[in-house]
Amino acid sequence: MDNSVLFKNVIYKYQMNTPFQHTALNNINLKIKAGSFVSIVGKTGSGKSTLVKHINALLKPNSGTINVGNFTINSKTNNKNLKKLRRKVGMVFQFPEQQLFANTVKEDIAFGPLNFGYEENKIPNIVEHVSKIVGIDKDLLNKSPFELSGGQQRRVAIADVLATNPEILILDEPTAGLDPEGKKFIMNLINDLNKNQDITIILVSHQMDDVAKYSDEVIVMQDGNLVKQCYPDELFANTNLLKKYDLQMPVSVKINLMLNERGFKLNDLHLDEDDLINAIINKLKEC
Amino acid sequence: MPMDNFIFGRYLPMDSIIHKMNPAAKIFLCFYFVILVFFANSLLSYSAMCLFVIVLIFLSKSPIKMFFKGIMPLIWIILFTIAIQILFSSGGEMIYKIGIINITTFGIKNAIFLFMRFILIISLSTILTITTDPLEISSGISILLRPLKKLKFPVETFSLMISIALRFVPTLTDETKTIMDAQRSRGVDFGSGGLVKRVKSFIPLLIPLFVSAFKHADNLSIAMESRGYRINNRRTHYNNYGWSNFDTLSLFLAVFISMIIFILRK
Amino acid sequence: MANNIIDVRNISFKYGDANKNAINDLSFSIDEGEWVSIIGKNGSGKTTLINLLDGLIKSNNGDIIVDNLKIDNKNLDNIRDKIGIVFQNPENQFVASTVKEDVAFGLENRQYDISKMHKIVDNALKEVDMLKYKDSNPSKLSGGQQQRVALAGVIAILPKIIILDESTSMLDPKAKKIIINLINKLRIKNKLTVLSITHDMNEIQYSDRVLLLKDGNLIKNISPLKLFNELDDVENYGLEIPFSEKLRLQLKKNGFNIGNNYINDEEIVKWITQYYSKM
Repeated sequence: MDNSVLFKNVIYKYQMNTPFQHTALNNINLKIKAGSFVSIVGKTGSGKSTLVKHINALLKPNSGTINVGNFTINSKTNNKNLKKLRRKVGMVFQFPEQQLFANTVKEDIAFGPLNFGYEENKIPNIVEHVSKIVGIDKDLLNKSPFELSGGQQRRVAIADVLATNPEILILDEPTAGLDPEGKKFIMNLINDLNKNQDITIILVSHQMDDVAKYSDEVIVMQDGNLVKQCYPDELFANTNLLKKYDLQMPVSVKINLMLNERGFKLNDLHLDEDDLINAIINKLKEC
Repeated sequence: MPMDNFIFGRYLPMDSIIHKMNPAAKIFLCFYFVILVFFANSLLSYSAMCLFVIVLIFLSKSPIKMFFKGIMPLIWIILFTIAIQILFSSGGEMIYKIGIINITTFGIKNAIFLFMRFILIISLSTILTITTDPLEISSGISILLRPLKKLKFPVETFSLMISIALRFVPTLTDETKTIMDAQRSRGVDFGSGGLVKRVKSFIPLLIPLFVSAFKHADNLSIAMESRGYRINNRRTHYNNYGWSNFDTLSLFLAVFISMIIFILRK
Repeated sequence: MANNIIDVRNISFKYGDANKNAINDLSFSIDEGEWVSIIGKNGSGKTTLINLLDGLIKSNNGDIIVDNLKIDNKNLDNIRDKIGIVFQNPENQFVASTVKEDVAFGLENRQYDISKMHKIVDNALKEVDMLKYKDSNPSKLSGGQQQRVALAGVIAILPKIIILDESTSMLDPKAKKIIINLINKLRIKNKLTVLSITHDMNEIQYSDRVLLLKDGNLIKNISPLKLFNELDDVENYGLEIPFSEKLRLQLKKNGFNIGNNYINDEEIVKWITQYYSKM
């Protein structure tokens, strides 16, 4: 079945009918294809988090509709029948280790599947499977999640979400606050889930290096409007656009640009750092 | 963001004579008038009180909408108490009687007074919260508690505690929202099913919230210590709320209004 | 000769029920006006070390001398007057609901009188370019703005030493840059000594020296320029190899003569274009 995500004329206002009312999403139309890796970028407060919360109906639009596979979410969607949708759409929040609560890591991972009505005898297999994916040692499973280090807690929290076997995975700044090693691990994990398990990835991020390196498509949000949806190289090759949307330049783009300005011109834009290094070295060797 | 609204969303920074009052005087008078409401017992004394509160609302330049917002959350409790008054009180002229239901003139009169009492008290406290920011309230309380210092009550520590608690309300509100969203995404239905199930569904919210609150407290205490805070040491205060002629005048006004209420009492 | 402002002599520290020292026989000294970075993975003892330096916890062995004062209960207040710390998470260092009152917190604790306090707070906020947010609620500010407010609270008490405890790790690159530039400016203006715990090479490159911690031990005391050259396992210290450094190492591997010192983005671009134009 096709699990693409479709927004049609979605409008969302915070604190409706109060003096503090403001429009968080202004007539959003978009399509995210099943199996793709899409990044959502934009300044803090541009509406990124509000946008993704509509995909599993944590927020419901004031008007317009959202389709996720065969689900339709609109202003009248009932809170009662959302389990199937939420099982399909996994959501990793910023600092997800905040959600840990159970006595043991094992129980914390089992919590989601049990809520979604998985058979109890299948749970141990699920726990084992996802803890392996996120690289949590077996002997940690019976420990309290609060005894683990920050990096390990983050992995458990991601395992929590993977345990329900989502087809669409939304991640809000999943690497924030981790050390470089932890960051690399999480980004590789996400990429692997997308490439090898065909999970649709929707990544909200400020890390333009990651966005440039991994995404198939980029969505740019600004003041509650979707201002651009395009391929990463289309966005990152255009410094005027980056400036206009107040986005950080990926290091690879920055170096490329600086070299260009000083007369060292490469034929292609290399978003991947290793590709860029090779291109530079090859060009230097040529002469 | 209900909790946020409850405490912070109410303060409207504006330039009114009530906004400018000394917070200690304002809190004291608010309590004083709430007590005074209970002394009203006749149509005239209630009317006088209402008139006075309407003048206050006018002086505070607050939109009437905010007062309805203050009343709405309590509307069921108000209607319930009023219904009991109307249906079950005895005395006065009987209007209608069926089974245990007893509608009398006395009951209706009491219900009207009760209703006015509710409205008056809510309006008075709303005037206070609309015109005074939470920080001023905490300073005001600590000024009012100052006499307790003589009894070795740690007034300074207490007032710092209140202001830190207030400062963490938005932080913890945000965290509550995020944790709720995270657990909802993991299939939790907050507040559905039977009582046991409902209570149980809050465990995945409360435990992370406590863990986080303890973490905040731990880190904050380190930060405070490193910034030179020592418990029970004397501290000076950045804010000094002045005492204006209007504050003095308002105290006299309170005495004057009390006299009117007592004269109009039955 | 520069004055020795921090002198750490053979200190060790063990947490209550741990079976290992969190800090293990550590000795080093820092000169007045120096900028020293401390790097190491989580659990290497960085934060414990900071807490020891500010007298928030007491070492089991050894002495710490800050500006000629030995840390003990008697000197604690004096020592904290000399040290200001900006912590990692802004959420956990604010006590007040307005910016101005938060900046005043350290001054209130030191019993400054009102008129003086108001002036100092305004000046401190001006230094970090946050004066116009004086009446704002700190929790409504962006992370970078919050750290600037925290910095204002620290410089208000005129410390001699500023400790940055991963103060920029939660900020976006732009906000990071603003904080680092501010520190650089204030350091010169107020003759500050800076001690910074960090993972960020953009920050480390400004420091005079880097201390590498591992399992509570001081492994190396090294110039930031030599970091990547002398260590082939920087990732074990929680450090990311910056792009410019990856490029430099690859160029070297391919036989280009680019030297052994760390160079940043601007410098490597310059090197490449110069090399290219000479061809």
